[in-house]
Amino acid sequence: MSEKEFPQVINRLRTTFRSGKTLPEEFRREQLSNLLSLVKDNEQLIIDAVYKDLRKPKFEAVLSEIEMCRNELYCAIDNFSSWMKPEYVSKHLAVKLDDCFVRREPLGVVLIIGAWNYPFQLILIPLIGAIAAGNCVIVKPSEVSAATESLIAELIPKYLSQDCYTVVCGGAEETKALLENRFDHIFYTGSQAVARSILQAASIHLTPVTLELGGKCPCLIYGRVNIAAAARRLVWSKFFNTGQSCVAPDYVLCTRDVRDALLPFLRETLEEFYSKEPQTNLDLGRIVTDRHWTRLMDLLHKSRGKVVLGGESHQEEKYIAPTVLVDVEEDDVLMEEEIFGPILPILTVESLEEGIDFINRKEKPLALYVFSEESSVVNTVMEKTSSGGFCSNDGMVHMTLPTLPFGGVGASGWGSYHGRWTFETFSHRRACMLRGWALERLNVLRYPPYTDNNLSLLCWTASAKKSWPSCSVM
Amino acid sequence: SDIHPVVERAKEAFLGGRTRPLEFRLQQLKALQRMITDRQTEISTALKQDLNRSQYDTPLLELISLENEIALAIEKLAEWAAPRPVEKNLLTLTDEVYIQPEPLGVVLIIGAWNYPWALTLSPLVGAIAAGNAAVVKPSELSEYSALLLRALLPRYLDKDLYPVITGGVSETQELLKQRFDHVFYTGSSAVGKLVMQAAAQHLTPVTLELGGKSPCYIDKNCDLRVACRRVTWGKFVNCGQTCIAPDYILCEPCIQGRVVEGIRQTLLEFYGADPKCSPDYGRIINQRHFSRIMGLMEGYTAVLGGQSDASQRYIAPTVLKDVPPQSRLMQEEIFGPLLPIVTVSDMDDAIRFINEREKPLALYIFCSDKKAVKRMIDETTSGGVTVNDVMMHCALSSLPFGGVGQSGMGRYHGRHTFDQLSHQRACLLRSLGMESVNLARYPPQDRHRARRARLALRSPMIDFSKRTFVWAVTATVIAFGLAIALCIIVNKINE
Repeated sequence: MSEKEFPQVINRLRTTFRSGKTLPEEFRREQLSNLLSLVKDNEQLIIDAVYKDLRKPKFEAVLSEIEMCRNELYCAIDNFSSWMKPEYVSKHLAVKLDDCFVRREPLGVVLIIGAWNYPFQLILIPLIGAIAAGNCVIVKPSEVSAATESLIAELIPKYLSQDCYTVVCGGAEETKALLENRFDHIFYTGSQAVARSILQAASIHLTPVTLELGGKCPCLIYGRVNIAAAARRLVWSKFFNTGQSCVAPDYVLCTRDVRDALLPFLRETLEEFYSKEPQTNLDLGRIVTDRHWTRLMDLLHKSRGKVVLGGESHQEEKYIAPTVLVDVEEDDVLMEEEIFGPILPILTVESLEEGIDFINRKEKPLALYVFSEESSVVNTVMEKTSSGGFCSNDGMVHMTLPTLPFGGVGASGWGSYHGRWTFETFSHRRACMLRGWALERLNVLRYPPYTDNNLSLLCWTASAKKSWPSCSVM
Repeated sequence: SDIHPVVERAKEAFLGGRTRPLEFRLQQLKALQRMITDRQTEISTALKQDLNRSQYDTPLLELISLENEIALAIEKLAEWAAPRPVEKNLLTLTDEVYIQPEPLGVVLIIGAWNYPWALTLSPLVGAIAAGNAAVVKPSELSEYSALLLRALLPRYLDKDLYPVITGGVSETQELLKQRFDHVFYTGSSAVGKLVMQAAAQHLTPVTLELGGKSPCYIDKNCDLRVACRRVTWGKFVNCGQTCIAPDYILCEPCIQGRVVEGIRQTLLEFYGADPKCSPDYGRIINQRHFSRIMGLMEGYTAVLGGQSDASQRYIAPTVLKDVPPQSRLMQEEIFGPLLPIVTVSDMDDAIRFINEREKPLALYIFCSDKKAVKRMIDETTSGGVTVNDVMMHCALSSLPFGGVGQSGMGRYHGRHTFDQLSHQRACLLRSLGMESVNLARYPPQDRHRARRARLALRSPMIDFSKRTFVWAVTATVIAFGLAIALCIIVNKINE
């Protein structure tokens, strides 16, 4: 599809939307079931595609690309009809006889732009919510994960209604052309730089957006803590997908003592997970492109920290060993932007306060991790910081629960999704009040000519009473 | 300019942490409540000077709703700010899982001139309740109110946390260059785009309460007399300068005459033979808008009203019939006391007409046939809907108030303001114990581990909300008790 065809494609989807095809519950259920079949029938193809793109180990692919999507699909299929129902709200006496409810309505034609690190999941999970909410969707997978992009482009038209859901492929040029058109919502996963231009493009049409961005997710280890267990969970979440996760712990903050205790466990865990020869180990992935490999190697070379674990690399394979550095300072090159790779700097602080201040000097991250068995430590960090999500004594798992909203705050993003939250993201909450003809006598109080008596009566009927929601008769 | 230091001071004050404790927020809300009660007369005077608002319209239109919002926030704050537990899966069975609402930081609130107090302070109530600092920028068009607010707010609220900045376009532009954690704007769609664009620089989320042409469909099957009365009230209150005023009427040609007659009778009841002399009828905010509205009427003969007096910025309540859809009157939001009637052949035609246009902030349907009403709601969209009345959906704080498409993004009122100006932070608190459960997810991987890991991720969700838990425990206990009783009875029978 060429850029010139974009406006036609969008118009076609808009016409379909206006015809009301995507509104009935049966239609949405059918499409969601088809999507479930897509995932079930093509599990191996999906695993192969992400292996091609990222050398993602089968286990990781199954957990993060297949299983998460299946869970989201089951959650949506089981629940979306109740999400669709009108939500009746509490009423004041004056409107007691009226029907007051909130209606969830689809927005229209929405755009979903995916990312390359979890190329399947980051398209599918928003798509599930968009379909459940009754929208037509244009899907734009990341061109960087090319194998998954082609697979998505091939499978979606085979399983879903081609009138309502289209895949558009391409790079920066095509995305820019796509954004010149008007959408009813834009869902973007990726970097802050691109997000700014998306927001600019959206503001021209007053299009609402959801931005799932990133940042440097801090990992604080403090106080009484089972270092062995902490090391395990830290290593797992850091090196999953070769560190290329928006919620991977980016860097560690701890005291010197903790660091010294941590290092041998990190070594032990890395050996346990990836063996003494990680390069030949099938459970470790690769960097997605040469460009990113070079970027990471550059950071490693420019860093003034000391490599204590790993450091090996192989350009042709786009391989970087799980690497840990110490003696990294706040102004180190590794601390300038999101690492997004298998490099873990450990910075030392003297106290919890210092660690918290350090975190607060930076932009609000997408996730914040604390390892500590002292609940006072966990609570202090939580209260004194802000982040998209928060997880204590583990990494990343908070995003696997569909009942928790997944999203950032500040520079790490705007909006959230997963489970019901995706449905809400792609819906408009329309307030409805259905009145009758009776009670016109009560209404008379609000009409001119105004009198003191009417006003006092009105104030009395309209004043907020305890435990009743306020209602002002305007 | 001293805008930057004022914003920085608000940031510093926020980072200092004094907005976190609920007691502080309650104290500020109560102070705001006092301000409105103590200063009602001064506020009324300012509004009279700005909009010729009658002494009754002020409490009616602005202050009651504001007081109610404050009272609700004070009553519910603890509930709104508390952690909200969510359903867990097998993997997180023993963990604490909840959503914690948190303040965003410094919010910029840009108010509008048509309800200068309600539209500026209502978002402020939510901002304070959510624990934010807020920079308040009232509209310069409602000049007297802006200056009064600037004088009053610092006398009641924390000066550093909630500064008021007055000024015009250049001050607003300067403000928008600063970095905020949220921008809450009420006004026109045209300026809304500029606000969103400016906020985009800093990736700042926005709430835009915009406008548009809110259609009012009057079906031939309805209580026409009451319908006309309600429409007339909603249209001409505040001299038509309301974002959710019924902008234009859609009806079939056969009832157009009766609609006009109904409105004429109501206008007589409300404002007398000469509305100019009625203390209850307002004026246009300024000369520019006066000329704009008069310009819309050009070329059309009013069937009711049409008189004006530029020296007073007075425009009579005016109705125009058989207005062509492509006229200027039908291209932009009127925001004035002109009520065009556009004829449609039936309800389907009306639905088509509405859907051809931008999504409005409000839709009004006057019809006694419940099925037809449902169909019209199903086949259209809008920010909100009131059936058989106008504007009332805005008056119930449990309903979210906001637009869609060109009429806006985001929503507020009551708890919705609190939620809109909070960050809903997902929290998962685990322990380092029970590592054996986790083992399945670690490499080195094999088939058995993989299967266990998959199972742990799966649901069904287990609802650990208190109610379900209590019910489950009670049911189990009762079941046990019954079983034991049954055993005893059977035993006794056997003896």
